[in-house]
Amino acid sequence: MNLAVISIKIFRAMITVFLLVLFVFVILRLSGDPAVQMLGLEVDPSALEAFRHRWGLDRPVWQQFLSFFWNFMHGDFGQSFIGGRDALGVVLERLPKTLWLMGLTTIFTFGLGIPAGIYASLHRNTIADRAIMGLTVASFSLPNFVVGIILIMVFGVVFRLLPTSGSETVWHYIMPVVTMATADAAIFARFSRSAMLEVLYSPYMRTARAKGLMWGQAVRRHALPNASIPIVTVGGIYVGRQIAAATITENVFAWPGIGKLLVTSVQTRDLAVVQCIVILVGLTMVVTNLLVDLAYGWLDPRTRTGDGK
Amino acid sequence: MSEQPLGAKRKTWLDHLFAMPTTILISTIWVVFMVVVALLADVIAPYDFKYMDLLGRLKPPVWMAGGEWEHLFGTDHLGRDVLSRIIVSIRISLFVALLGTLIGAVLGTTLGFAAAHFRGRIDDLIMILIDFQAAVPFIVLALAVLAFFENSFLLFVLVMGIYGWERYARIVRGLALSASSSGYAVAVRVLGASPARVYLRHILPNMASAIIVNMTLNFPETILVETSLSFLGLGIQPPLTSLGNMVGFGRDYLLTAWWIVLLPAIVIFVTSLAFSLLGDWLRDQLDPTLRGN
Amino acid sequence: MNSQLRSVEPLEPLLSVRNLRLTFRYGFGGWFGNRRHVHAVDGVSFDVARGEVLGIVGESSSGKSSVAKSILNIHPPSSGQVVFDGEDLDTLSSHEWRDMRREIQYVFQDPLGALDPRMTVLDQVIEPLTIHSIGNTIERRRQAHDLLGAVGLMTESHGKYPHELSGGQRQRVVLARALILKPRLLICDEPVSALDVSIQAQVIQLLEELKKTFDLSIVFISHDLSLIRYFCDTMVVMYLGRIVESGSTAEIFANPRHPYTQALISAIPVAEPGLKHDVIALQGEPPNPFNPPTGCHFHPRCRLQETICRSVYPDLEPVDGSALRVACHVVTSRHQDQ
Repeated sequence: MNLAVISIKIFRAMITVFLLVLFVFVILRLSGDPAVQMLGLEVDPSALEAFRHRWGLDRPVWQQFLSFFWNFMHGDFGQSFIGGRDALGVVLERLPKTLWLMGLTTIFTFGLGIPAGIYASLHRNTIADRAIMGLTVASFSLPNFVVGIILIMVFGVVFRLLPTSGSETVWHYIMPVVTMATADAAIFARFSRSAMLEVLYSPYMRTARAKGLMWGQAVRRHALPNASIPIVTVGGIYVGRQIAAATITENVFAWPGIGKLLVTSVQTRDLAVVQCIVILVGLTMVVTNLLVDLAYGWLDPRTRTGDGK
Repeated sequence: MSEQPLGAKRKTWLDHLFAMPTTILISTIWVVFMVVVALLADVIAPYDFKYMDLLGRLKPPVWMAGGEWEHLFGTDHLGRDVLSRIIVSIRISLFVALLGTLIGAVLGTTLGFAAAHFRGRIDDLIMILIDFQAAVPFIVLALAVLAFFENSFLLFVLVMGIYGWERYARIVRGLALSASSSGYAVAVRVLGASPARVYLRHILPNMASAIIVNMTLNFPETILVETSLSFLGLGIQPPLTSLGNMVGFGRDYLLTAWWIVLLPAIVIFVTSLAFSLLGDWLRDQLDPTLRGN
Repeated sequence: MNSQLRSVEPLEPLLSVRNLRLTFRYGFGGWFGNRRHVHAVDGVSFDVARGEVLGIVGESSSGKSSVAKSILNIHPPSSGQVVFDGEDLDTLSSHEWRDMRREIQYVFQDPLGALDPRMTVLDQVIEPLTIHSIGNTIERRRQAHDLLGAVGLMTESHGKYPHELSGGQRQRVVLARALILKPRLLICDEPVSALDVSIQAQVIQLLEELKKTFDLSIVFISHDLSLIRYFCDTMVVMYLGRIVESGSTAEIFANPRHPYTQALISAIPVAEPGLKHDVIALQGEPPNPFNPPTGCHFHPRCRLQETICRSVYPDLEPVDGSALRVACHVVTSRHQDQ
């Protein structure tokens, strides 16, 4: 891809980030006095004044936005209600737990979903295929908190096999990971199946067979690489879904990660933390989408010559 | 209006009915059942869903020991009849999802048209908004809005409305752009039609099926989002009830009174599954060129 | 008939186009690379008299379709003047344009694309009347019905949808729709190119009849020279956005002056197989509109090319004192020598 196209993509990404910060800023303004929102009503008026000054709330709006932005760039999102600590610190503290959860889920999702989908595509219309298809539809029709609750009921309450909240031991990981992995594994299974099907019955596969390749070789050498292209696209959406899923799953299992922190902060109106999480999440998504976009361009020679509108 | 071979009669709706596979038939029946329940909620529900009978708390469902016929599904931790609450929740959830889907469709379609019609800067602006919406996971955005503003029912419905608008906008924009440069749009303009007439009477009807297809996708998803948010306690607030609500508040009683949680959960599962299957099948019927996802 | 008939001298042309230009810009411009320009129409002038059929001939990049679109304001012209019946079209407000639509109508190349797939053909012919609020529902239906009959579409087909009709039938519908407003000028852009050859003749005949019935003036755009010869009174030959030869059809076919015109005419298949005639084969590729040759755009493919042709663009000059005009240095200088 030429430099112009890459630059445009990066530029658009930056605009999205800008818009995100603007969004948070606007919401903060619209919903009431930010000082009161952030610090609460019972605080000393001088603290409110100090807050206003620190965040430039006594200056014209555009200046406020600039200082808002500036503070964000320096990692200053305000003070959390939790012990009056720095919001960013509070968030980063919980990050590892969430990352562990997501990491393991990803391994399961890819490890289970994609092979299942490929298997189904290779054994089209057999019982195995139909079973997999049926299972997957059921899986992603279930909101993941329902999956979580059912798992808790079965393994936590009835059989008392697994712990139902917290994250201390390895056993604690099992149910949350399964909960999160279910819907996405289903989606990946369906997706890889249709991607493989599209490729398997395409003309160039027949050509490969005609060349004398064994079926297995043809699949490996031609079908899989080409089917991987749409899978990369889905990868971008996947990260977003993971974040959304984590938000809910962590609450079901009282998992001390960012998802639980977000919901708790919303409930207690700890706006500094909410602000922080929203922007970090947005930033992550924008970067991910950009990378996917670029990777896609590199993988698929058809898109290399430019950004078609 | 497809060609029929000579001698074939037109397919009636009965023929279509019998052509459905069994699972789809069951899904349709369930969906219709849910809609009926939602519409007749006031009449069907045996009790006022808010009515608390504190002496009769945590009664089990009728098929278990200690259950009564007065409370088919038992009562919850505040003595409220679970069956009535489920019935009213169905109505509220479906209503919110419907409203949300419609708002999203209208908003997205309008912006899609605007982008295609005005081009230039307005198109760029709307595309950026679309990118923004698609970039951030909706639940995070929704939580942010709900955090900063007081959570009222109206606000929540609006937030549900915003879910998914960007998909409509993308589709409509694409179709409108290709339609307006296509033959008949130009031809009708040359005949003297105003842009509004061209959009409303020519372009919109031809993209109606694409919009409807998207609505069938959007609706069950909206139900899921609403349910999840309500589960977290940030969606539909008490005294109003929602299926997600019930699961969320009943969580603490999982050990002692599992019916408070499991019964609504089952309803969520079956309803969502039914809508998904039906939606998939409808999409296949409307446009066979769309491959199932 | 139109109540806005102005008292114009009968000899004044119905349509008068002067120095029409239509330029398209491509590319991002601004930060990344330059905008590229395509002069689709590059200084075109012609007249269409009342009751006359003007033919516009050219290859695909010649700009002939763009001329039509400029006149109709589908793409507003970048510069130049279009005067219809004494009125300068550039000065019209959007409200006045709507009324003007009743006077000038357009027939597309692709009849299937020009029709809304979801409306019956009768409804589509009725629609222009509805747009301009002519008559009541019953009258409109009647008019549309009659007109469809007049163009040769049987009553049984009136309730059908475009995809249920044949190509020839569709084009009849398009014609009916264009004519129901009783325009005075009809612009036809390759009206028969998408049809089977056997149907083409029928549609052309239909056009002839309609021209007489409705007292139409027609601009007939085509790449098919034999059609032009048959149907058009005057003609204009375009190459890469400019006119290279213009005049009456009979004169041009009898004695084409411009080397491009000569090559085109010589390539028309002749009915008698044994008859030898010299075909002037054009060398080279069709020109790239993004990067046109300097000077006379035709020079790289011209067998008469001289030095001046590479640097200076020839103006359209009259030849033999007649209405015939040619844009070629060589032809003009030869004429001057005589």
